[in-house]
Order: sequence, then C-alpha cells, then structure tokens
Amino acid sequence: MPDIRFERVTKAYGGSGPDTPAAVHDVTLAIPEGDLVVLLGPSGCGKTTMLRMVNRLIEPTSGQIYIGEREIHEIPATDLRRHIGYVIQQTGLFPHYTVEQNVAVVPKLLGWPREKTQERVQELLELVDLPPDQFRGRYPRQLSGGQQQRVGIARAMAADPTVMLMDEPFGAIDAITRADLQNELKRIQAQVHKTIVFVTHDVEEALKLADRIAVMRTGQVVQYDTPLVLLSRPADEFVSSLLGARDILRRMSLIPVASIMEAPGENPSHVTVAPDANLRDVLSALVAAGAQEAAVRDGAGQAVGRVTLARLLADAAHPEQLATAGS
Amino acid sequence: MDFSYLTNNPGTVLAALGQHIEITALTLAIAIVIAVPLGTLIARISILYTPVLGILGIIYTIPSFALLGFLIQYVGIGIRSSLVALVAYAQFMLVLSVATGLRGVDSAVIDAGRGMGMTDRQILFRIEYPLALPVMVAGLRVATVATIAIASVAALDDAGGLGALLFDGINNSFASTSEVQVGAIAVSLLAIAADLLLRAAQRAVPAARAG
Repeated sequence: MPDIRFERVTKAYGGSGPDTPAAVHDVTLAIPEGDLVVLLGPSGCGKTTMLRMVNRLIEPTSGQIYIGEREIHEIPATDLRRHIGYVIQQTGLFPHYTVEQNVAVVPKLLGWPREKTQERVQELLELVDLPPDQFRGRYPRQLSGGQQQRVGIARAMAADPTVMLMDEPFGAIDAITRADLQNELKRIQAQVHKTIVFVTHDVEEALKLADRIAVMRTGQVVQYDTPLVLLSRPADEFVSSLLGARDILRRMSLIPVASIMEAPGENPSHVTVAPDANLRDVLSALVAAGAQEAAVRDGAGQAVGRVTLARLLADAAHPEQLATAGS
Repeated sequence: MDFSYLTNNPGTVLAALGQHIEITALTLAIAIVIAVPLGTLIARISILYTPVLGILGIIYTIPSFALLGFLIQYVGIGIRSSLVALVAYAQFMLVLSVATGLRGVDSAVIDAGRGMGMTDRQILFRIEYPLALPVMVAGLRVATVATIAIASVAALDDAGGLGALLFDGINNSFASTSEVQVGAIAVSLLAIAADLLLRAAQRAVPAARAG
C-alpha cells in the first residue's frame, strides 16, 4: 500500500474570485501508508486544493506528487483516478443510477465482469451497513443524507483503491448522523487500512479520526503531527487557538488511561474504567461516583491498574510529558 | 361544424395530414441534429451563450410569412425553403432547452464522475445528457407544437400539408367553408396529440425519477 508524498508543491492562480480555489505554496508533506491524515484549516487555506491535486483534478504549478514510487503525472489522469477513491461533501451520487449502479461505476469503467462487480457491490453495501437486498435497487433521492454518504463511501471503495481522498465527506450531515458515520469510518479503516487524505474544518472530527493532522493556513502547512502532540505542543498561537489547545478536557480525551495507570492496589475501587478509556472518561466516572480513585478492569473484570484523581489532575495540567508516551 | 369536406374527400385530407406529419418530423430531426451540439457548445463556452441565444431569439420573433417570403427569394419555392424556415424557428427552443438542461446538472455529480476517472465523453453521455433529458424533452414539446402550427404556412411554399386545405378554402370562393374547418381542426388535433405524446415521453424519461 503506497504512501503519498508532496514535494515542494505549489499551486498559484492568476486571478482570484469566489470560485478560484485557494493557492498552495511550496508544500512538502509525507503521508504514511495506511494512515488517515487530516488536512485541517479555515476556508481558503488550500486544504481542498491539496486534496484535488492528488487525483489531478487540479494540476500543480510546480513540484511533484508521488504515490508510492510513481510521480502521478506519469499516469494518465483517468487511469490514476480509477485507482483512487474519491468522496465529496455533496456525495455526487448519480441521481439517475440506483445504489447498485452507483457503486458499480468504477468497476464498470475498469471493465470488470458482471458477476465480480455484483459480488463486490454486495460486499461493500454490507460493509457500510446498508442491507443489500433492501438498498441495492433504490435511487439516491430515496435515501437519507447519511445513507447517501454511506453509498458514497462504498462507491469510492468499489475497485479496492489503496488511496482514498475524502473532501469534507460529513460536512453536510446532521451532528448525530455525522458522529455515527465517523465511527463507521474508524471501524472500516481499522479493517481495511487505506491511505486516506481527509479534508475538514471541523476540529473535533479531525481529532477523532486522524492518525496525523496537517494544520494549514494560507497555502502552507503550519504543523504536521499526531493529534496529541498538536494539542500539547502547538507550534504557534494559530494552531493553539484553532485546535482549542487550552481546552484541558479536549486534551484529556486524547490521553489513554494506560499512560498514567499505576499498579492495582490491595482494595480495587468499585469505580471501573476500561483499559482503552481515556482520561476524560476516567474523570467523568470519578465525578459521577464522587470517588477519588478508579480501578482499570479488563473484559473479564480483573483489576489491571488504578488511577487516582490527584494523579489525573496533575498529569492533565502538564500533558507535554505524556505526549510521546500517549501516542 | 361542417365535416362534409372530410367525408367527401377523405383521401385528400389524409394525404395532407401525412405531408404535415412528414414536414414536422423532418424539421425536428434536422433541428435536433443542429441544436444538440450547438446547445452543448454554448453550455460549455459561456461567452457564446448570450449572443447565440440572442440571434436565435431574434429569428424566433420574425413573423413566419415574412421569413418564408424572404427565403423563397433565395432558396426558391418548394419544401426546401419551408424546411429552412421551420428548422430556424425550432432552434431557439431546442438550443435553449439543451443548454439550460446541461447547465442545470449538479456540478458535484460531474465532479464525482471526473474524480472517479470518467472521460469527458463518458461524463457527457452517461451523466450530463441523461440528467438534462427532462428539460430537453420539455423544449422539444414546445418546439413540436410550434412547428406543427407554423408548418401550415408551408403550403404557401407549395410544400403541401394541412395548410393547403386552409389556404385553398380561403382563396377559392367556390370551395366550401368545410374545407377550412376540417384543415383547422386537423392541425389543432395534430398539435394536441403530439403534445400529449411528448408529455407521456417526458414522464417516462428515467432521469425524471431524480427529481
């Protein structure tokens, strides 16, 4: 599975208007294979331009973009695009195609035999939790916004691309459904490990989904690191305020309990947290129970560690010592 | 109403109806072949949109008698000058509907198609035309009804059709008023029938389900 590398990529525009995409200045960025990397920034920062240069919907003015060993301009644009998944905010589903036909677009372009395509559609609709028998024959307008974007994701994955580009895929969806879809994407990504470039301006979404975040501003990457490092050691005031790095609760939600857990004591607390909980979960549990100490218990109910409120508060206030251990 | 002309001359009326349908069908076939590429072109190249539709709009407003009289001088009398006039009239509605239909296609759908690796040609034929089809058929409906009406004037040009009954009845004081009435009713019925047929076609267009 290939990585994606931007090498000194610049996109300049002669004029500027409401429809002119944002420029990008001399960006070098490496996206490791199998990672979900979020391009995060305010509108006009160039994040969508970056994304659209990967499948050549926008051509860079200078610089190179590699997917694996190959520079993308060595590959004919249509061939390149057929091997990259593409998901956009407005879904872009074909309204005159059924769900099945929509998902089958790229396999059809690639000339897959019909049976193989049908099997793949079946498999993908199951993956995105749309029972095939119920949804295969529907038209997009007969689906809710959330269901439409599930089809959009299935369609992007149809030919099993190793690279996926997602341009604010959940931006037009209501908050509750958006959270569901984010969880679905995490679940699917844990199964398939695609190399995903994900554009958003939603900080919570970025923190929730990203392996790494590239914070962009006026066409440049200001900081590129894991969510926890961004929150605990923001490069400058812009990153700090964009991410709300001073929000201690937000920071706590990125630190796993394992990083501050001590050996289990003699009498484990009745307040229980799971080993994969984060510090924010622990704080909630302690506040709810009015307790000073929680026991970390595994699936079998065996205490594997303990967390005290005092330790929790001390570490939450100084997360920079934890930043590396936590990720 | 006096239908004696029809009962006395059923063959003449049927032949005139046949000619009328033929002129209309021929006009629309030629007009579509011109209008689809032209409408596609002006939908793509927006600086052409206003001037092209402006010129076609002016042609559309010229009275049909005047245009036909003008064309007879240059193209000569006969069905050819009628066809030129009828095709020219139909262009405005058809080009407008093709361009409007294409411009109305959601740009996100086209972006998705391009991003999945469809060629320009595949985007045009698999996405844009099918999605623009309801608007194009609506334009065809209007153009068809107008063509049937204006084609009556083609009789002046010796091209025949139901217009021949009208003019013959008006010019010939010996002819019965029945000839005029039969001609007029036949043209009206033909226009209504064509309209209903195309309305049904419009409903059957698959992309209409998208709405």
